Amino acid sequence: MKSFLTIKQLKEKLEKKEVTISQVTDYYSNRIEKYNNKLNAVIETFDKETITHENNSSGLLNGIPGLLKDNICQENRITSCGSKILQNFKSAYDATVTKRIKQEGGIILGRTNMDEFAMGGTGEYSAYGDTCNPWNLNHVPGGSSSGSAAAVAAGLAPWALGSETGGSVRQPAAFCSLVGLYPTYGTHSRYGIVAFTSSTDQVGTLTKTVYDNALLASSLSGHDPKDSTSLFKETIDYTKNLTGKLPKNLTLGVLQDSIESEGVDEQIKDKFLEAVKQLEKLGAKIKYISLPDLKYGISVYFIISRAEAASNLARFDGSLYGMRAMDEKTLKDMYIQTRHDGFGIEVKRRILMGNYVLSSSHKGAFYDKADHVRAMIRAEFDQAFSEVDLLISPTTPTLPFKIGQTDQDPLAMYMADYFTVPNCITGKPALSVPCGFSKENLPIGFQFMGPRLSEELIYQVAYAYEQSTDHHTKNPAGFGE
Amino acid sequence: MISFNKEELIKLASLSCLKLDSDEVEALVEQIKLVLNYAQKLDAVELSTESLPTRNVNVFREDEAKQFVSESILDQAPKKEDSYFVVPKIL
Repeated sequence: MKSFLTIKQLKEKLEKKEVTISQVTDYYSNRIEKYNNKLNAVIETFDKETITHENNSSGLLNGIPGLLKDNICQENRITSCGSKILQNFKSAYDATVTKRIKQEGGIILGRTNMDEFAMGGTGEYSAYGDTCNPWNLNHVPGGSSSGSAAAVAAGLAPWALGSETGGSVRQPAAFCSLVGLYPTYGTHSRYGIVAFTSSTDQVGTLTKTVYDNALLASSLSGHDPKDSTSLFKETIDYTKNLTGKLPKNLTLGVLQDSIESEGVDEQIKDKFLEAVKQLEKLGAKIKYISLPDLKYGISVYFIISRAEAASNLARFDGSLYGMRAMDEKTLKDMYIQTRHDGFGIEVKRRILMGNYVLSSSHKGAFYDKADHVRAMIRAEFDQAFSEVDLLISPTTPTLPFKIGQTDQDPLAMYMADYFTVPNCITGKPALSVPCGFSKENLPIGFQFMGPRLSEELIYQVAYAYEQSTDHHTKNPAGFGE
Repeated sequence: MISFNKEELIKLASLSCLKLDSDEVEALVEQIKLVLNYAQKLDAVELSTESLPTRNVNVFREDEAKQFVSESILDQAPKKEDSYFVVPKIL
């Protein structure tokens, strides 16, 4: 078998009986064993005998191996969330998305490394070591779905699930030349996903191609009564509109800020503008749109995400599960010592800030204000979507950082989410797609953002773009042919 | 500019059930101050009277008893006795 097969190609091979499910599983397990030491993308691979999946010949993912981010629960397996505090925690049940993957015949090979509790944008905040970018091992793969992105980019699996709160799927997708989706809030169940910012957390899909991404997202869609924020929607087949053509009279809005701002890397601007031209060539009408409140997105996100994180992470105290500091004499001391020993610095930083903005003397100035500005950003998006069908911008303002580059400057890491945060805080879907490489051969991505439940349109347009370029056919060197 | 100092950080850590190593304190004060000052950009926003925060509504389901295996939950307890979680004394 070749090294970088897509889900679509693998399905064809299985259908034609050129390979068996067992051979495909062994093939990818062997690849992980051979190449993971370069990347540290996969934390644990499961023994073949213990992998349970339904052999469902009509399943969307039948016999196709993949990986899950370490914050997605799998029954009787460890879900450590990239943290020491959960290093031995075994989930008592499958997350709904895990169950759906299994029902569709997908084979879960293991769990992937991540920034601790999904907090971080580089893959350097895991208790299990840094993950490297397969395109250049001295650079970060992005995060927090660092291992999922690095693994798929290196062909260790044809798909992986990540989770996104403010960019954690699309930013690593852009850094690793992958396709990554943040769905409309409420589309993918959060049941069994360790909570960080409950009002924006969603499971996202990481693949090499748009078709694969649409297929994987289709397998996760549909209402889940176990998640009270799950939308009452039937399962959707996102692949059915992938014709390679744009819909008639399509208008795309280019975010003016993204081409004018000094904060955006020149090489990223160039590649993005090439993509805009390409879309125009395919028949899209281009409009330039200014959304002035979008610049407050990061501030709103800082406040809301940290406030919710501080509340969500209060449950990790050593009482019921996970690690416990055993020598403490009182309950309070046990809580404090457990959290001290178990949490890394980025998690502590966010809890502290969250409790600051929620404290009675600051809540009005920070949390309440952020909540209001969030509504204003939502209204601004809605206004824009009455003028254009989709918005487009670079996915990230910067190229993948060098490992260690943002250690002393977390603000620089947070700013990488500049273009991915606004749609997350307003629950709107977006898809990052590769649009080329920098002079140093580092991947660059751009994104389509749409109104709520516009995934079908987003996939259709992204597919037509992708098929007219060759970025998705490139693979990093050093991981076989 | 927001003033945020060492004393505030230590108080906040205690409220958060966190304890900080002395070598972490200085850097954390600066980093949190930086982020809070960035977040304070919101001071410049004139709040719209048209776009108001959404009010969440609860989604209810029937309160039905369901089978659940509690052993697998209890197995995760750092310390247990019969079917109880054991924690250190409260006071």
